Amino acid sequence: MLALVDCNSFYCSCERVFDPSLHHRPVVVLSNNDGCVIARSQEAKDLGIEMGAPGFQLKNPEVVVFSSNYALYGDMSRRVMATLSTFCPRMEVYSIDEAFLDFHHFPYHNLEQTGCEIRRSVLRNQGIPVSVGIAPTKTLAKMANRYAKKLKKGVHVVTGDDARIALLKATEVSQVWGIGPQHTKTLTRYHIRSAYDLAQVPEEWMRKHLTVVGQRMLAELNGRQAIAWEGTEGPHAGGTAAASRKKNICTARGFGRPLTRKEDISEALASYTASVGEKLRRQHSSATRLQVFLRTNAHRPEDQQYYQSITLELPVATNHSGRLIAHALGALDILYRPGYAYSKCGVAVLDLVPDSQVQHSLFADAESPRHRKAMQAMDQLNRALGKDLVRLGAQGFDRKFRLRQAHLSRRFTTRLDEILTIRH
Amino acid sequence: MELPVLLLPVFPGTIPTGFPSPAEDYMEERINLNDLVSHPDSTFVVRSQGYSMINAFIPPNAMLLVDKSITPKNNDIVVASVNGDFTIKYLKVNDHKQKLVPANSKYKEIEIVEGMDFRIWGVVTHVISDPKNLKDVC
Repeated sequence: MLALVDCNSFYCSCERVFDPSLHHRPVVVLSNNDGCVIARSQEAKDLGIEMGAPGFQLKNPEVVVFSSNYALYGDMSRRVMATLSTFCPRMEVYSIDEAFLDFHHFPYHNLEQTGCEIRRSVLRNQGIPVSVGIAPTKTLAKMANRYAKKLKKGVHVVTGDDARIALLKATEVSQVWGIGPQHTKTLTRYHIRSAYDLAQVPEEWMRKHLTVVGQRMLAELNGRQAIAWEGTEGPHAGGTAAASRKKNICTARGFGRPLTRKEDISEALASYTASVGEKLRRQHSSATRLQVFLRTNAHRPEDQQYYQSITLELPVATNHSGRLIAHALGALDILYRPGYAYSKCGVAVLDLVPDSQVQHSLFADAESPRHRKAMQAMDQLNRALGKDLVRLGAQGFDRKFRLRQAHLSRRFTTRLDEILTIRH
Repeated sequence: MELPVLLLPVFPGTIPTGFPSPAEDYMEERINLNDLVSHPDSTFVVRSQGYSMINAFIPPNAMLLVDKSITPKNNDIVVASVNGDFTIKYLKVNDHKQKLVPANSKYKEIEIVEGMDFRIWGVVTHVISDPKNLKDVC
């Protein structure tokens, strides 16, 4: 049996931990750059505020608005995951606010009770409410989790065929994990409306219409695990750098305002690349490929649209910010076209290898220890004194791309000068 | 006939000789104050501003380590919220009654009654303060 533990309105819940006056009030969190709503408390949902609603449209003075504070959410997530890991050694952190726990080694556990204990522990230790769905497969655990939230009971366990079939019948096909709007259209055309209908479809039909993904989904809906486990394995694997090492890392953000000049975009791209480099070094990985994209604002159809990305093979695997930036800016030279109002760019590093396995090419000079030391010193300074205090020249200094964050809360858990102050 | 020049490396500075340090086999990690925190994933640092807990040696500007995982008991110093505001007080529990009691006679007790939005946020485990801040008051 697998559990999916999902934090309820995670970003809003994080804000509430440090401000008790927010309980029972509608709270929303906006995307980077204060663009649109990305998290809503139940009260905000009840007011009819939609996911993705533009921030400037929120006129109701009752609604408390926050800019996204990823330093806070990231640390709170780490704390929640640490509490979850005490329940089960086999854990897969699926996203910032959800994790799968594999309980197949605990056949004698009362899973309903375990689910309740998980909820109690996270609420007590971190102050974050979570919901728990427990079922034989990842897809069903996801579904059980949604169902728990819908019934407002916090934990839903699906054991046996009767419970599974009841769950499938209670779930619309559009809510099945992996079914997007396009699939929903196709399925509705064939009168497949509930997850139960979907689970009855012949395998060949699924393969034909929803490819191998659909085939896997079919197995999962019928209680057979078909989606690979990507979490930790053994009792002691959890928490080690190797286990949590990511396979690719990406930083992509919208600019504070549309940018047209290549120099301004270069500064943004260099900063994003520096942040990718820092994350690489933190997990002791090097990148062998680098991908850059640049785009205009798709939500402004009146503007000329442009979207292009490019992937480079790096001559030597590296995590040196200077080298990564040089390659990223080279990619930008190819991508950039004058005359567009660009809204966003991003950089991803792919096919990561552990530092210890970097293959030095005969013709490209190997990463010198001096370079590595410089990067280490830069990372230490930035961690101690503030993000981006020490930076490479290409990252620039006037930062036209800087984020708009008008409603930012403090970094209560990662900065000593921003901790919660209590007057009494 | 000219003899080939032989280059010999020169070590700058001195090479330690003599006895090795008798402490070498006994070197230990230096004390790390993080070890005071028994539950790092549920411990938060907050700053206390005010005089209501001055006789509990919590001066203004003190930093408190607050552990959310601990079940609060009678006489614990707690961070609690009452009707949406945080405060720091002694928790007194008796006969199903709960009170928040200050450590300063100039401040009032808060009795927890039906209808209050009362939550205990965490238990204070350590106080980090500059002793000079206590001088004027105690």
